[in-house]
Amino acid sequence: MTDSNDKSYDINFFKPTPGIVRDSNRIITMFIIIWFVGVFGFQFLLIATNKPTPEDTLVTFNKVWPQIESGEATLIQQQEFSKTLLMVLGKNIALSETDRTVLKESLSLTAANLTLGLTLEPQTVANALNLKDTGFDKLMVELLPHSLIQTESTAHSADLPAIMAKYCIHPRGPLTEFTFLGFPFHYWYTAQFLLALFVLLCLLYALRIEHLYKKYGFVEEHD
Amino acid sequence: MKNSFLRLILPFIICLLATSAYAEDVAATATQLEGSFKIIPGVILIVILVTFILVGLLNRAKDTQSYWAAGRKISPVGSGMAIASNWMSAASFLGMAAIMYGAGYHGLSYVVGWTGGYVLLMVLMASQVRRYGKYTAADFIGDRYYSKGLRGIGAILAILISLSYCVGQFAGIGLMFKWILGIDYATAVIVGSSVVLLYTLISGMMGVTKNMQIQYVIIIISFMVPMFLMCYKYGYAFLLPHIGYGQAVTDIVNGLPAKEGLTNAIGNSMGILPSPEFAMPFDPATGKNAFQWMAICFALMVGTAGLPHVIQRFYVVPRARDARASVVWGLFFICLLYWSAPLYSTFGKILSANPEIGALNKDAIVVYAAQLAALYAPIVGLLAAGAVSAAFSTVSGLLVAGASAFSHDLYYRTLNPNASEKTQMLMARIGTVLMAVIVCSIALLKLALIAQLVATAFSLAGCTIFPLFLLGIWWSGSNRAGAWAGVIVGGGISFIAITYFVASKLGFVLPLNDFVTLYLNPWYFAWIGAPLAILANIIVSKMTGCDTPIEIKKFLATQVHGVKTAD
Repeated sequence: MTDSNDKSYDINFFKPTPGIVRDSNRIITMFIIIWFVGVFGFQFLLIATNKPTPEDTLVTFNKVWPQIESGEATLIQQQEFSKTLLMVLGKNIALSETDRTVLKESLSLTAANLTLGLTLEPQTVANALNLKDTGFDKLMVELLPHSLIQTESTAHSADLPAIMAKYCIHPRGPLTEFTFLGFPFHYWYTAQFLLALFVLLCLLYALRIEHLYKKYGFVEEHD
Repeated sequence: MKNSFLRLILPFIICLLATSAYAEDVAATATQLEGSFKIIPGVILIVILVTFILVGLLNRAKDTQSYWAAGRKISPVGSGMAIASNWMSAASFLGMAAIMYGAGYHGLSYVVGWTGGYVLLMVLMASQVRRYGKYTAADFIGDRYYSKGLRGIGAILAILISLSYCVGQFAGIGLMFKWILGIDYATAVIVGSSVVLLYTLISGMMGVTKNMQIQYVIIIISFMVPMFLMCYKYGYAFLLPHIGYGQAVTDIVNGLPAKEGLTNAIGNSMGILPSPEFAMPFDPATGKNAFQWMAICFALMVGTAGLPHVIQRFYVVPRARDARASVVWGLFFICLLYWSAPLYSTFGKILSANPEIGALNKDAIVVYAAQLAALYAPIVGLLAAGAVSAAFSTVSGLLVAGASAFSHDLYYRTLNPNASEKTQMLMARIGTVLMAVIVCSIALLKLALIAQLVATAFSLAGCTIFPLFLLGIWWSGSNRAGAWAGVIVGGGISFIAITYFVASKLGFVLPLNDFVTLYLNPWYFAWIGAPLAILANIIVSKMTGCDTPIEIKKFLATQVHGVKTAD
């Protein structure tokens, strides 16, 4: 006989009845904790250990910017300044159109200054910037035809330092600086290890739960 | 089994080999990024589609039983491949790389969300749902909450989720048809939709399941071969490209100076200026933050455990034990692709670094990366065909799930219980056509990136179906009133999020737009919607008292959870 108040049929994950339900809930809880900490715990750890870190590009920019702004920069300072702008323009990230234009205007203004306003022809500007035909310099030379524009402005935008900071300060810390199998460690952990952990958790769960069902003689099939 | 598999895959192999005869003459065409008809990719696509239809015809559904659940004849490995193929849609094949290409580490939230959800599915749902023994998600909801109305709601939700999920797939199919055929996007979507509809109508789920196994093989081969070649060509560890591309990620962070003699297909130097934002977590330069990463990840995980067409796959395995085994196999097969996806965004990032390339359509970066690496034309063609295959396998499963909900749960179980087998089949087919037409119309609007469109379906499932299954299985005190409350809260939050999204696309700015866009974003509103729906279900169930019928409680305890009783 059964009645609607019969508590022996109650299922509550947080108040399991002794026996198979309690044991299986313990297994499930353990797996969910591992899963949760593995995924979100690590991301919180990244937040805790990372600090805003400027790129070398930004350090150089900040060093020469006062002279550039006051119009007292030397030839070398102008070259360094131009290279920092190219470094950001060549990042291949979604720069906003406004930011991109400001960067291009500043670069073109400096290039015109370096070439004495004669031309914005890319190879001439490359020579003026003392860019070589190897390494990063070569990439910057290839960028120039797409980065020089005719501009009416005669001064650099006051927004430039903020724009440079926006794209050149990154959250970095020990977990991002350490490399593993060629990857930055945090990237490997999230992109590779977590997925392997998920497969392992599923496999171990299947084995553990089947062992439990055998122990309690639970026959799963009812149809 | 072996013979049957060979019989299925042989026509495809023969046709594929035949196409290679033309490869040399037209190899150059595959390096055109856009615009013209590409013969080799086109031929490969046609061969694959013909193979799918032939397999569908050979294994076509004979009655509603086989249409809905394939007669429960699938082995765990086969079912795992079907789960993987069903799962790996255009969002996995094209969309994840697109997000990572645009937003770096932020895109990994999709990779982790779409795999981590399987752990939830495994420990909380898979075998329990199988032991409950219903055919569809709506069947379970209607039975567990002893409500015809909730069964209808479950069916409607299943249809809405399938529709939303399909939009991203149809967009992916359109994009690849556009790339291969050199036609405009709208025509490509219509052509692709017609083909996938025809195929689903012919085959049904039995054909779909068999096809899914073939589709998995095609998807994984087409995705992996270019990886080996790209790593080899550019000097990364090519024997295990899943690991080999790690150095390329570090190269992007530190910058990769131009290497002598190494260029992309257009002749730009192979190299990139230092771009740490590609790999650094929650980098402000990408415009994304930690909250968004975690919200997307969580929403995709609960969505995974609430997707009707995924849960439904557990009904087609013979035993509950097989349901668990099929999840393990399925997840492993899925991970083979997910471990690889960031490689395409990484190489895409380096190879498209020169502005001469212009702004690429992010959703096609997988194919563009292979093209920019100047890989052999048939390889790029196979990659594009693999993308279509990925979208096809998911769409056909979704259309079957949606049609099942329409025909079985809405029409037969709710509206016309006396309907004959023939009428039910007819309704299933009408449902499939209706869904395809609606989805095609929405896909033409190009509302967002593929992965984002698909993520909306996950949030919808996470807010509505997931709480019903979770509490339905794990708390017998959850009653009909509680279920209604949960559906209303989850559905309400979904409605708000989607309304704001649609309004913004139509140019309207609603009150609190910035707040809602950040916290109830259409890609991840389940981060809050799912917990609130669960809470509402619990509160209302407690307030109204446990009136779950004793037969259901008994069934849940003994058959689903293995409680032994005296009687």
